[in-house]
Amino acid sequence: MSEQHIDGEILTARQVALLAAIQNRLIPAQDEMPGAGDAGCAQTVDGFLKERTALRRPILAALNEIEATAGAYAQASADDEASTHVAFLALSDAERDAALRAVEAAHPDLFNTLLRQTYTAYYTNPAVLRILGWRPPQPEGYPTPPPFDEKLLDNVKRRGKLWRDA
Amino acid sequence: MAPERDVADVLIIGAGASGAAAAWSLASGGLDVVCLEQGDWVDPTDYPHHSPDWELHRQTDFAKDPNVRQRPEDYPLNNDDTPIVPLMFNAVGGSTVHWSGHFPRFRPSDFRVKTLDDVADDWPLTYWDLEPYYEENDANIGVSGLEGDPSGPPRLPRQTPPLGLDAAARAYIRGLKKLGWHWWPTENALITAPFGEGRQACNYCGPCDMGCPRGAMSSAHVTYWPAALAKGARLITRARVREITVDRRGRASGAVYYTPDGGIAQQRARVVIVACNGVGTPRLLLNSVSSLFPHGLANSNGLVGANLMFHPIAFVSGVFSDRVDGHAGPVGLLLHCHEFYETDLSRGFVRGIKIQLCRESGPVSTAIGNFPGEAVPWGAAHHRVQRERSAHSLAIAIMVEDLPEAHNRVELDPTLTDSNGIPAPRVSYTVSENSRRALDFGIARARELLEAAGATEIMHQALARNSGWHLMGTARMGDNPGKSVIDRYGRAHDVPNLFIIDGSIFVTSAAVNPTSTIQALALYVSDWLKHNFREVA
Ligand SMILES: Cc1cc2nc3c(=O)[nH]c(=O)nc-3n(C[C@H](O)[C@H](O)[C@H](O)COP(=O)(O)OP(=O)(O)OC[C@H]3O[C@@H](n4cnc5c(N)ncnc54)[C@H](O)[C@@H]3O)c2cc1C
Ligand code: SF4
Repeated sequence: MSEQHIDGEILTARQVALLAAIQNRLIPAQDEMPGAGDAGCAQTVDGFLKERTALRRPILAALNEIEATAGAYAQASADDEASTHVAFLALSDAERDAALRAVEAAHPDLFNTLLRQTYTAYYTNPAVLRILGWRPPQPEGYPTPPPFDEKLLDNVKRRGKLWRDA
Repeated sequence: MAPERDVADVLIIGAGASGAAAAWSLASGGLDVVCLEQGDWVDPTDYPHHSPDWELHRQTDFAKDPNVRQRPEDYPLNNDDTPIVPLMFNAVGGSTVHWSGHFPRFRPSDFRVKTLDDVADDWPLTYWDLEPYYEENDANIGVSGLEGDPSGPPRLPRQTPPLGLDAAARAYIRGLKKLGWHWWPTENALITAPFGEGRQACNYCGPCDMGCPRGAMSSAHVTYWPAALAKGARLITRARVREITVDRRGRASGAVYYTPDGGIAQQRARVVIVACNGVGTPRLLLNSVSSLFPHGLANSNGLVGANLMFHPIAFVSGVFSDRVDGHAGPVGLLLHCHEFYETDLSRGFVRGIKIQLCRESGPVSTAIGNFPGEAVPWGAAHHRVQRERSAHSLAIAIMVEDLPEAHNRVELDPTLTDSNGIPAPRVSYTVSENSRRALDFGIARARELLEAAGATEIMHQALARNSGWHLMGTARMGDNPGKSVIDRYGRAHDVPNLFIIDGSIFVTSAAVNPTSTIQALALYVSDWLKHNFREVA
């Protein structure tokens, strides 16, 4: 695993690999959409951790919980030790999802922080946004809609005064 | 540093919505005005709207929660004991730098809740006392909308037309017509056509809550401040006030503040006005301790910091099979429904609710479930559900009138401080039973409305934690010095040349956004002060 992953600013290469694999299950590749890990969201989240120290504890704890849970699965499936340097990577997709669901149920706050940061990284990723057709709000803004049509309010006006004198 | 002997006519602390309006009014009246503001001008190139990662900035440097944002000019808050987090921005323009700009007025009944509904207290002034100042304020800053809403008193033509009729509006109107409820296009502190200098009309880009790079939002730093400076007001930025000083007679004499390099300076003045918002103001008064005022300034009755009101908010979110493009157009603004605004005890609560028909935002907001409070599921279903919701969702905000309760309060934290070592606020707040019932009633109505509008999936967030936009009540106004902090002219009962003009002076909160009333009050108090300056100073 660590061939493709180098140390991040905060995360180790091992943690980057683990996070990317988790993210590919959270937002899997489908049709033209890349998986979140493949889109580089582990590195993006590493960048968030550098900037926002408050995120470090929950994200690292979530990674630890997921890896520990995966370790239990890996042992149960008695894989060969050498390939389970990152236990989560040794699991099948179905086992990975089961491990994630177990952590989601046991530690919802930690898991949701990881999920939220993954979603944020994915949907601010320029390549992903290009595929989905999103552009930044400015400078173009969005087209000015037709002017408001006051006739639509005729029924409301007919009801008369709706406030109390005081 | 201000020279020792620089004694201003008026010192205003805080350059937000209220401080800016007062600075303009008083400087226009020929008074020498100095304003101290802990933040700086926002650099227009800082706004994230041009960047692909614009939605990330909602969670970082443009977050509404200062504890998350953690800019040097922010002060921390201890929010351990509140289900609603106070939100604000600390800069020239204050919290109007990034807000939604929804600009309704209070109604006459909102000032008379004791008389009409036998709850809380009446205000010492009426809607009609404030009406000319509402109009003056609107004319000064530029408000878009349509006059004639039968749910409130008549008003002059709005400065620019209401927002246009887009897919989101059409969807809501479909539902409202079926139900026969009241609705009207919102009044917004935002210009839809040219108005004012150096400002461009709204181009429907969406995320006003992170500021407006076009100056379309009628925020205090693009409206009142340029005008106030032109009238000679002096604005000192990056000046964090530690305490208001008093002389031997117990009159306010000025303020001591920290300069950007950590040094200490003093600004003296004949009159001091506090405009630091519903959290910053009680904090500053409680920090201004002296032998004459051992429990904090203007706090002889212990009411400084008490009676904190937010507007508890629930969000109800609907998914539509057709595109409604919730990201296109000002996020918080579209239509409002005042069908359930005035008291009807058969609903199970006293006072009323506003149903604010809002939009959505970009794909991050959808994915994390910002409004519905429910994230898009992860795993195999993710892309399908994200596609169904993104650009296909609209959110309704239910805003309820929060009644004052003494135990909801802002105090000083015993250990937490800001970067200058000034004690930080601690907020204790609970949602009352009445507010909870009103929220639940509103959620049920919003569900009905979304269903009538054709939503295929409806989700709700029973109480939004990140919704303490409106900070009110912590230095309330009243005629009785035992039951209030300031009198009907904004003057502290305990200190004859100290005034308070921000949201902390509200007696009750109404069920509408407060800032048009905050600014109308700031103009009203300033007007009185201009005419009585000799006597007061
Ligand atoms: C995200 C968001 C959305 C909102 N949307 C709406 C809306 O749609 N409609 C509406 O009516 N209202 C809205 N509001 C609320 C609105 O912004 C406030 O009601 C309004 O700005 C309050 O005005 P103020 O003068 O009381 O305080 P503020 O505008 O908050 O200004 C207070 C100023 O005092 C400064 N200050 C505080 N302490 C010190 C100190 N010790 N020394 C020096 N300076 C100090 C602060 O830095 C700040 O600039 C919103 C607020 C937020 C955060
Ligand atoms: S939607 Fe309009 S008011 Fe809001 S930020 Fe964009 S241009 Fe400004």
